[in-house]
Amino acid sequence: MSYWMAVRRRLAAAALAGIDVAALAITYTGNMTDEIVTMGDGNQYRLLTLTSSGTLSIPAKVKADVWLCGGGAKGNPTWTGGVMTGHGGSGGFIAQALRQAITNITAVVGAAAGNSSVSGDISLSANGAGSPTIYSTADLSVVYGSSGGGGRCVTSSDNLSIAVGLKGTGETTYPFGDTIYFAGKPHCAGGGGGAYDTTEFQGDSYAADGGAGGTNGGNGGSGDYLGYVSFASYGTPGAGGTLGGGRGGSANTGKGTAATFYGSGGGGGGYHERDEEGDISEYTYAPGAGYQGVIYVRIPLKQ
Amino acid sequence: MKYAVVKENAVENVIVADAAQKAELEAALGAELVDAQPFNLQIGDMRVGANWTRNQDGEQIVLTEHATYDELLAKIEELEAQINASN
Repeated sequence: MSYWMAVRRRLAAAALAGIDVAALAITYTGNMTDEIVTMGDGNQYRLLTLTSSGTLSIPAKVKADVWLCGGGAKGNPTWTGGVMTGHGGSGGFIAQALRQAITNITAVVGAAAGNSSVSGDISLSANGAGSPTIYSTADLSVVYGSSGGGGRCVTSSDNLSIAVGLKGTGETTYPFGDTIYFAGKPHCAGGGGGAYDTTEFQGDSYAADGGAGGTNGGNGGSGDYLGYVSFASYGTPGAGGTLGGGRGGSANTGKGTAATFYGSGGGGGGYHERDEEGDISEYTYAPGAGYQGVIYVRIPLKQ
Repeated sequence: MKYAVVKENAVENVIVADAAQKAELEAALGAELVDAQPFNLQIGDMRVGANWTRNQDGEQIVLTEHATYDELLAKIEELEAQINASN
């Protein structure tokens, strides 16, 4: 055997031996958790969770999967001009790319409603969630985020058509579609819609409930006009979607709550009116903030 | 902390990054990073001269600076100190 043939054989053998992924000295200039896990497909991965922006450096070219989501939207405030409470904020959009060869990437993690992206060896982006206008009937055919925000409340059963929840994309928001490893953690939930109620002096109360936030790419629930309710009763704000969508605002519970998990939307603003024999006092309850996005990089230990 | 990604005086994105990565990310993104918190900067906001502005219902309004969280905490501590001193 010639010298060069022997060299080629040794190089081929070294390549086949593969890369010790677990031993790689991976660095990230932002905030990252780095763990070795067994995921839902039964395979072991080195799972990197990037929660702030930075540069990821891997000392050898590896095949990896990347999943990311943009930030969730803040809930909409109440519009007192025609009295409609706020839609819940939608969840951030998602994107993924599988079996990508990477060594160095710049990762941008979107804040609430901000866009997340990866550039360098691969290019991938996921927008933050948007919001409809608060003033009139929203174009509910538009998708503002992966999971829709909960529907707003209106003051009359005639207007229920504009109390529908915001539309979701219908795609799963479990990272890598892994419902086992991420069980109970669908990202990018929608926030709940704000509640409405009005109380007349020593008399009737009228109320409407906010719609629930969407989960796992689903649409937000519709707001519901209850009409007459017992004296001093309240409308119920929409619950946030699973996991981390904010609750809507209401007279009973106060302002909408902020989202609490990656990519989720905040609760919509609520409204309460007190009518003292024609002397009307209006109270609005602020919407909750959305939550930042996140980026996952998973590298199979078996390359 | 929260940074606005600014290109040609317009906010293109709002991101999460540590202050230590500011220069690195500015170079990587080819953009200026501005602390988003004081004016609660959002995508689409524009810098006009020394002011940050936002298109609100067709009107370009000038944004006013909010107190930072740390400033609010400092103010609370200051007020608590005054209350304690008066007791």
